[in-house]
Amino acid sequence: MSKISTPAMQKYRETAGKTKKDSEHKNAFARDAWIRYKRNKTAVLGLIIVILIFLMAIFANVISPYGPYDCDYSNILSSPSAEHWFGTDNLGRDLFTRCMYGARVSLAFGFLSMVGALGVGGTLGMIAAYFGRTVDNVIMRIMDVIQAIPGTLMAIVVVACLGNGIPQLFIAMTVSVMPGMSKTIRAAILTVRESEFIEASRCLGASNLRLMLTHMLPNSFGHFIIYAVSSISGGIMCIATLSYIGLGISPPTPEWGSILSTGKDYIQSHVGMVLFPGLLIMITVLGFNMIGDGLRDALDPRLK
Amino acid sequence: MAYIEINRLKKYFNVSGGTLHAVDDISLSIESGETLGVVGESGCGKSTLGKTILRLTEPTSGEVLVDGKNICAIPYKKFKEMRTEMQMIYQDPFSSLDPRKTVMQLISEPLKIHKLYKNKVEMQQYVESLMQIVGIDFRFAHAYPHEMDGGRRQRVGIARALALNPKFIVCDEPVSALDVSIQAQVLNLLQDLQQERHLTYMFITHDMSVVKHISTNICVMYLGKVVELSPSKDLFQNTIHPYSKALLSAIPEPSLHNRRERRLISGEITSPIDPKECCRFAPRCPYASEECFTSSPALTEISNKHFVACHKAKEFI
Amino acid sequence: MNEGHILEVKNLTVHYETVDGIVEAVNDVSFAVNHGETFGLVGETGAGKTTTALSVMGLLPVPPSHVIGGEIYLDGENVLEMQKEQLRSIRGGKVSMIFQDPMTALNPVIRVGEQIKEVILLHNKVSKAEAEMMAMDMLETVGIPKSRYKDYPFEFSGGMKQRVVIAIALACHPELLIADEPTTALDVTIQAQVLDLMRNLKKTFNTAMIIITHDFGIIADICEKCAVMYAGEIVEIGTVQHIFDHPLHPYTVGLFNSIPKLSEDVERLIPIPGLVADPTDLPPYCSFHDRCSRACSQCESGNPPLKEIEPGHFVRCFFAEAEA
Repeated sequence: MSKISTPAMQKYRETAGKTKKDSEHKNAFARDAWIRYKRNKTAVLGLIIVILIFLMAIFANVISPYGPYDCDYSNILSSPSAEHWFGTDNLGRDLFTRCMYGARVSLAFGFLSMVGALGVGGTLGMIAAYFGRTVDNVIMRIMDVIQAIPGTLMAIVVVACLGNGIPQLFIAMTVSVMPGMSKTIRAAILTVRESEFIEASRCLGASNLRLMLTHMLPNSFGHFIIYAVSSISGGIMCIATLSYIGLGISPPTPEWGSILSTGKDYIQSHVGMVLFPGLLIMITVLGFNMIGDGLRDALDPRLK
Repeated sequence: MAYIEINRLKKYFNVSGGTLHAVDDISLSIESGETLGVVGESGCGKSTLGKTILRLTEPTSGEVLVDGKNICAIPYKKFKEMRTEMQMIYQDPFSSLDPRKTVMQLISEPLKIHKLYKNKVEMQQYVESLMQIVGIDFRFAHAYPHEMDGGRRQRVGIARALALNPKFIVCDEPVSALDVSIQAQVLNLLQDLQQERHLTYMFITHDMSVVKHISTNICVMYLGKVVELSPSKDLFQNTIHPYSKALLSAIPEPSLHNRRERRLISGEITSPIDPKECCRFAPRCPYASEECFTSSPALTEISNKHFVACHKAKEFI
Repeated sequence: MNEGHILEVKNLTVHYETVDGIVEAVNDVSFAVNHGETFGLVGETGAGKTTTALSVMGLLPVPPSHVIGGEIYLDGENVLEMQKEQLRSIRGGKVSMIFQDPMTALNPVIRVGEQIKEVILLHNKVSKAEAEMMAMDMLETVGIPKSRYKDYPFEFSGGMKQRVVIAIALACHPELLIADEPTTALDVTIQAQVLDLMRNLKKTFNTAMIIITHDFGIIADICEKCAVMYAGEIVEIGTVQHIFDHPLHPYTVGLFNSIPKLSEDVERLIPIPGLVADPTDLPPYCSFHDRCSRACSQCESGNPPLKEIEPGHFVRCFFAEAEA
């Protein structure tokens, strides 16, 4: 092929032929996902909400001049004011401060239960998908049985059996989130397992373990990250519910559920004690769910 | 001694409603350095045949001899070494490449599996040379499959297959997913590679004109059976089986002249589940007689190296 | 506006917005289809064939796509200026479309007969019983026995499904039928059956057709006129005799050289070098320049116009005239 080049031509070729740099290529998938995520307004709002709640939890002691246990008996059950944004509770403690400290407990439990469920449930799901047949059947039927009991009820049963305490609560919540997690991961891996590229790698001589770790897991990552994020909100709801009925975090420790529980006695005169922690639970859960939905859309390359 | 020899190979699948005869008692051989074209419509078992030969699915019965060795008898754990000898190129370069891996990772995967390099530099050099052989610019080394067009993706697939220096490659519709102008590029690449490396191909396709262009021998399949097997030239000059004739005449030729007479066959492919003991093409065959519905015709040699499975073959010569 | 034309597309330009930039999907495309004529639109992936067809149907998703300019006259009326209701009434009535995949074009939970009946009821003032009769006739016309009226799509094979899709498309006797790769998903023997059916139906109903395909064989088989598209532009347009016997654009010639043929033996195919031009970054000159074996400095001076080389045969190449 003979090509004659003019300066204009040359310039065009240079710009046209230029491809992305290596560093850009490396994270192309994550970058594309982020671009798709950013386009989703609700997902971005969810992310902002969650970041704000996180900042509140982390910097609770910096933001507020009060401590969570500082009682001011001269100023009990006050209405929201410049000094006390959310008002004070029945012992004169600043409600805003307690809610901020409460975020620590809620977020910690939300994440811990997610990590626990991801660890235990994820491994079980992987084993089920990997071995198939009997192993799959046994694991999945156990999960079915656990799932047949409503999550919160399951957690109540575990706490009732093992007693009250942080580790017990952690176990209770992990057990209730685990079945969904293991099923999600199993389904994700089963879908990927049937893909042609798995067979193509097998044709190259790849071992089962290699297929699992280098192809199946990374490709099903998208599915369970979404479930994991959504399960955080489940965890937050669960701990709030348990605390509300008195099986979770016991009273002096600030926790949204227990603040709510105390507040229900004063609901007619001081609605703020119920309203603010309630709103916080709602907003946080909403935030995580919005992120989950956004991630689902962002991680699906077909929706490009 | 042929390089690949298949003896009475069968692959049945248990499905709801019976047994699916995907590959039913097929015997054939491929000489070293030759290309066997396998043609047939979807569901005729041509892909299953290719996969069974590579032992990607275990055959129900029969044997596959590679260089005289029965590979079906090799224990699965020791089979890994055989993989370096025989490889596969897939139809769809979208689904046969892991979307989360870069070109570099994809091409180096076979090298990693078989530990064919001493250090990272050596591996990179090897990948680079492979990319050069199949004609992908090295600047794509860190690109993901979805960032490339179909032609380049298929070249990555070819590079992966070549990495282990195989002698035999099953090409499962390697160009059907590609655009016409790219199709010719890939076909030429495959032909060049065959000459340079003395490769043996089994070329599976539904496209008669592609198979004619690339094959030494052609095998026409219908519902798990070989209906006609012959040297490429002979098949086109002297088509005998009614199905092969129909298949040939059904292809719209991109020319306004020398149009062939249409021989439309009515109906569609029948079910491969528990087929009756008869000629499988009989229900659609315009020449079928009672004999065709009662007994299954054997693949017999009609003329030199031209095999046909038809009761009426003699009448059609 | 010529009386004989059912469809006239004038200078159609459509762009898509994507993350990677603006895709110039269709650039300045003009063609006309006469009543009862079969027009082929041939080109590779991304050449803009489907976008052109969707614009005619008024089915372009907006956003991301935007019609930048041009006019589309369907039977004298500009489709691009129509209101939604008006568009809806012409779709399936005056013009209908067949899509590539018959598996997804049918509603899996509605009986096929009902699906045909529904279209008839939508566009004609007839009673339900009459519509049912018409639907049954339509099934027979496409070669499916009446008795299968009450079957569900999953009970049909791929070829039969495509027949049902054709029956739905033709149920209201449209004046123009657009078929987007109607046989790509089908096996060759079934493809031959469907092509035969389409040819017969064209005779029966005198429907004008636009066949979109990448397969020159299908064009030769049923079309009278055809346009070759490359990178959103028509590079060559004429009767099939012009295109097949006397191709002038280097791209058309290149395509013919790169397909293996049954009637000829070639040792080696002559592929078109390089890749299809990037539609987000089309050069300001001939978009085929980079792959063209004949390219010279004149080709870089600007985009060649679509020039009439012989009556009815237009080519977008500076060399066409000299060649002719």
